[in-house]
This record gives sequence, structure tokens and C-alpha cells, in this order.
Amino acid sequence: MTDEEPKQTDMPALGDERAWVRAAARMWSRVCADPKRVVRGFIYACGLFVALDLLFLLPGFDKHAHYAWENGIGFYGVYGFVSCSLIYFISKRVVRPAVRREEDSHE
Amino acid sequence: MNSLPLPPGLILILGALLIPFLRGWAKSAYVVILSAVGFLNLICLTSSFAAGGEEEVIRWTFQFMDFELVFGRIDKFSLLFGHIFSLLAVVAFIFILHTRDDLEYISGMVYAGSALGVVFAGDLITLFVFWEMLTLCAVGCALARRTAEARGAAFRYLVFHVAGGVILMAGIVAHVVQTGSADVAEIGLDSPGGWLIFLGFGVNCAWPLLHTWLPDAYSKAGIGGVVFMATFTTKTAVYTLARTFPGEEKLIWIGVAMVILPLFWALIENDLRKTLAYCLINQVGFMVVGVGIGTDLALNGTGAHAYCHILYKALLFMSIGAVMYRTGKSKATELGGLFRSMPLTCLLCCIGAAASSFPFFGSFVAKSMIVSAAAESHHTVAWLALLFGAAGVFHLVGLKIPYFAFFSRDSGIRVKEAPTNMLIAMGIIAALCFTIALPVVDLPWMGYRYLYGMLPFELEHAYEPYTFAHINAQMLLLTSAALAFVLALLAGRYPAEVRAENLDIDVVYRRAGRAALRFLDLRLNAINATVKRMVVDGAVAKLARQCAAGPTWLVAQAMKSVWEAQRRDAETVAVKEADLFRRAKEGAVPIGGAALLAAALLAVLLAL
Repeated sequence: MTDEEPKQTDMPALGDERAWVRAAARMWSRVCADPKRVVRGFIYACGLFVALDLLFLLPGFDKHAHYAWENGIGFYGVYGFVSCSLIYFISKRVVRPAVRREEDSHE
Repeated sequence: MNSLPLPPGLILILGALLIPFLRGWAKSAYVVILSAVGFLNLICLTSSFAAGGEEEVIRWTFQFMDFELVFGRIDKFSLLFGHIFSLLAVVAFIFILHTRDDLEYISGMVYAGSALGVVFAGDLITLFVFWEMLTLCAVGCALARRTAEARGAAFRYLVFHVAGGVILMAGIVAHVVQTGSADVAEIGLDSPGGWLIFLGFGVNCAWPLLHTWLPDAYSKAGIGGVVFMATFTTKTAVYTLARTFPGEEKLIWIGVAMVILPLFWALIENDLRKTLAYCLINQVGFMVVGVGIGTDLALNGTGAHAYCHILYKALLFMSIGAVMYRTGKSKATELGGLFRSMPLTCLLCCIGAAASSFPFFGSFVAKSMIVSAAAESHHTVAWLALLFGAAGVFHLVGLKIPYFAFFSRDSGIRVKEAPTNMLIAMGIIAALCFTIALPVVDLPWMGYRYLYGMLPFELEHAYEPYTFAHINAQMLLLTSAALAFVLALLAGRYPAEVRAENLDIDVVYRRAGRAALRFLDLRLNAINATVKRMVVDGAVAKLARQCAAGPTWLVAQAMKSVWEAQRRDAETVAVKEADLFRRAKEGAVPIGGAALLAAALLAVLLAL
């Protein structure tokens, strides 16, 4: 953001739909220009929730876990990440090569 | 309760008969008002039921042969489903207010009425009649798009569901003959009738291998029709399974397969409505697992998740429908960057996406009950599968749908925002997705305690979704799923959206169908050709020729003796005989000669 365009950082008025769209477009173009910022954002978010998970090591905090592995720090984060990665891998490497055909091949 | 004139479903079904006679705005206003009357009727029914303080009320019964048909089995479970079905009907008609299409309006109205009919049916015969009406209305909703591919999908839908209906009917007959009871109650799998009913419900529930009608029809139906289809068919099947097979362990494994398998197809699917359809199967899988576990918590979770899932899935189908309405496209490769042109639709779609998983939205307070029930009943594999499905579906519904429709690369499409009626309908549902899960307030449609208050079973220990541990675990699951999505996109590991047809198990049915057709063509048509050659062209033709030539031959034999008596030589006799046959064929026998011959024949006959 440069000094020449200070108004772009202002919050648009609630009813000004066009201004909101312009603000969203600017934000999206910034994301596209530097997508690593988004990755960093998500890593920080994951870090925050893992840090909050550490609180359950303190006395007085209880997860009421049904399984022992739920008590592992960041279990849900690891499980979510691995699950999605597995879905990508199986879909891309196993399912797609087996089922992909030309569009409208049924017709 | 006695003041209620009609069962909730019949109000809509009978009211639908007037739709074709109305024109213009009157038609649009009528469908909204009629569905609103149906909803208000249901609210009155709920209030009367609550005031009565009974566990179950039976109303609107009729004697049919030896059976008592029950159109009103009213309890908390039927009211929960009736409530969301009636509510969704009103919003769906607001969404398609502008179309004024008789086929779509009538199909949608009778569809809603039939779904209510199934929910409140107290006997299997009534249930079956409304069940079949659901099929016909769904076909109407698919046909309302009026394209060749929609007609094909409607036909395949009809074949699937008529087959399922026949199986269900056979099961009901067998069950009634064996037990003498047609009540909608726990049936069990210890008889052939029970198995057939189980399978019949499974077709509508889109069980694995029986599911292909769902992505096929939902991706090709009209933009309003698909909202009705996504709301009523699978949810009535979940409801009937919960009524008749609660705690049936086989359902847990069927549900687990439904939760996991569709995710792989949803990820590589280019058509966003097909992606939503596969994700719908995934979420219905959660409900089927809940029915299979069968504890009070699991069945409450099933009901609550059906309620919330209907809301956010309708919102997502509506938002993609609005995109289709404006752009005519629903494929990820053809869309992108639409947040510039359709910002409100984009916002509402994002709310629908968030409602699939995030805390402070419906699904968070509902789906987690089923996951907790799986853990409490020590179904560890099912629990792991449900977590896997929860992460996967957030990635697909929560990230893929909004990303490829509204962000991604700019497709260059610049269109107007969705029509006002569509925005109002989507806005109502988006608000409900949020308000129904609010943690503090406790007002009608505000606060999860209102939702929990509608659930069928009183729990010994009240389920509390808003704990620090639950919120943190869910946020950890979602942010890590989102991180995987972003990393895969940036690293080029994400399966690229490509224009392609992804085969499903329906390829087996299609190929088997074509093979059967070829077999019948080769075998039956060969028999047909042989019969034609031997009978039609052979025996019958010969008989016809003999019948035609027979009298001439008789005459020729008679004349031969005359000609021989005249001492004609053999050659002359042959020429005359040939001439006789020619004249007979051409009808050129002299009249006098023919008359003489006839007289002679008569004389011979008289003499005999």
C-alpha cells in the first residue's frame, strides 16, 4: 500500500456495494500477487490453535476425550491435514486415471 | 388439535391442483402463500402437540380393507422433519418466484406434500403411496429444465426409483403377510420382507452402488427443482430408516462408505453441482451412521443434522443455481472471478460453505452429536471415518465451491447480481444457518437450544456443543484442511479442474444395459427373422398362393379332360392351361366362361 492511495484502506460504507467489491478485488489481487501470505496466515492460525491445545496440559482443563490419541497435542490438525492430503492423492493418482473420459462420453 | 382440517401434506397436494389455472404474478404469489399456509399449519400442529403433552398422537385415520391407514402419526421426530420440509418449501418457492413454470411449481408443491405425507404416515401402505409420489415429482422437477440431458437424467432417475419402489412394495407385502402389521415401526432384518424394505429405502438414500441417480439427476435438474430434490428424497429415506431400522449395525458400515467414497469423485468433478451432489451423499452418510448407531444421542444427531444440512445444502445449490441463472454455466473451468459481478451471491455462498462446518453455524451443533455418539458407543473406525469426512467435506464444500465459482482466475464473465427474489430466499436460509446455532439466545429459530428442543429424545446428559475443547478441535481440523488446500494449490498438487466426464459405477449399469440391448437385438431379433422367414414368408405365403391358385387349378384339371376329349395335342393343352392361369391371375376370364364354370360347379355340388 502506497501513500498516494490512502483512501483504499478505508472501510467502505455498509450500503456501498461497489466500494466493497472494489475492496475485495484489491484484496484478492494482493493475495494472488503474494499467495505465500495466505499460507503464512493459515500456518499462524494452525499454530494458534495448537498453542490453545497446549492449555489442556494444564490442570483444570479437560478435553473429555473418548480416545487417548485425542489428548495428543494438535491431533485434530494432523488428522485434518493428512485426511485432505490423502483425498488429493487418491483422487488424483488413483481415481481420476481410472474414471476420466472425454466430456459427454455417456451421450 | 381437532381444529386442524387436513393433514399437512394434503394441503399442499390439493392446493397444487389450482396452480395451472392462475396466471402471472397471481401464480407466483399463490405458490408462496400456499406453502406458507402449509408451514403455518405445521406450526399450529406443533403447538397443539406440545400443549397436549402426549408422546405420540394418531390423527386422520381411514379404514382400507383390513388396514387402518394413518395420515397423521404426530410425534417429535415427525414434527422435526415436517418442520424443515415445510419451511424449505416456502423458501424454495420464493427462490423460483420468477419462473412461473407450471411443471416446476406443481412438481415442487406435490413433492413437498408427498415428503410430509411420508413423514406423518403411520402405516407402510400410506408411506408407500407418498413414496412413489416423491419419485414422480422428482422426475417432474428434473424435466422442468427442458433439455435433452435433463430428460435423459429424469428417465434414469425414474428407472432407478421405480425399481426401488417395486422392491419396497414387495418387502411391504411380505412383511404384512408375515407379521399381519403394516405399522411404521422397527422392522429388523430377520425376514425377507425386512431385507426388501431395507433395500427399497436404500435406493432413495443413495447407498453406495445405488447412488448414481443422485449426482446424475441433481447436476442436470432445473435450478429450483434441484433444491426440492436435495431437500426431500434422501432426507425422507433417512427418516424412514430411523423409524424402521434404528440401531441396525449394517447401516454404520453403509454410512461409512457413503462418508468416504464420494469425496474422491467430488474432488475431481468439474461440474460444481455434481460436486455438491457427491458432498450431499457424504453428509447423508453421517445421518446413516447415526441411524446405525441407534442411541438416543445418535438419533437426535441424525435429526438435527438433517435439519441443518437441508438448510446449508439448499443455500449452496441456490447460490450455484443463481450463478447458472445469470451465466448459464456451472463448471469450474468456465467460472471464476464472479465475486466482482455477484458479490451478494458470493457472500451468501460463503455463508453456506461456512455453515457446513464452522462453529456458530448449524452443522457444528448437529453433526458433532453423531461424531460424539460414534465415540461414546466405541465405534472407533466409524468415528475416524466421520472425522475424515468432516475434514474432506469442509475442503470441498467450504473451499472448493466458493473458490472456483467466485474467485480462482477471472473468467471475464460480467453479469448482473442474482434477482431479488433469489437473494431474499438465500438470505433467509443464510440467516437461519447462523441463528439456529447461536450459543446464548433461546428464541424460536434462534439458538441451538431451540433446535435441540425439537429433537425426539430426552438425553440423560444434555449434549453441549460449545465447549472450549470442541471449538478448538474443530478449528484445528478446519484450518489444517484449509492449509492443505492452499499448499496443494500453490504446489500444483491439487487435481486441476479439467473438462471431462468422470465415470461412476453407473458405467456398469449403462454398459450392462447396452450389452442387454445388443443381446436382445442379436438373439430375439434373430428368432424374429427366422419366424418371419418360415411362417410369414414361407408357410403363410405358400398357403396364400395355394388359395389364390387352387380354384384355377381345379378348373384347369376339369378343362384338361375337356381338351383331351377334343383330341387336342399335349402342346396345345399346355398352352391353353398356361393361358387359363394367366387369365385367372389377371382376372380376365370371360364372364360367360366364368358363369358357365360356376353353374357347372353348382350343378356338381347339387348332384353330390
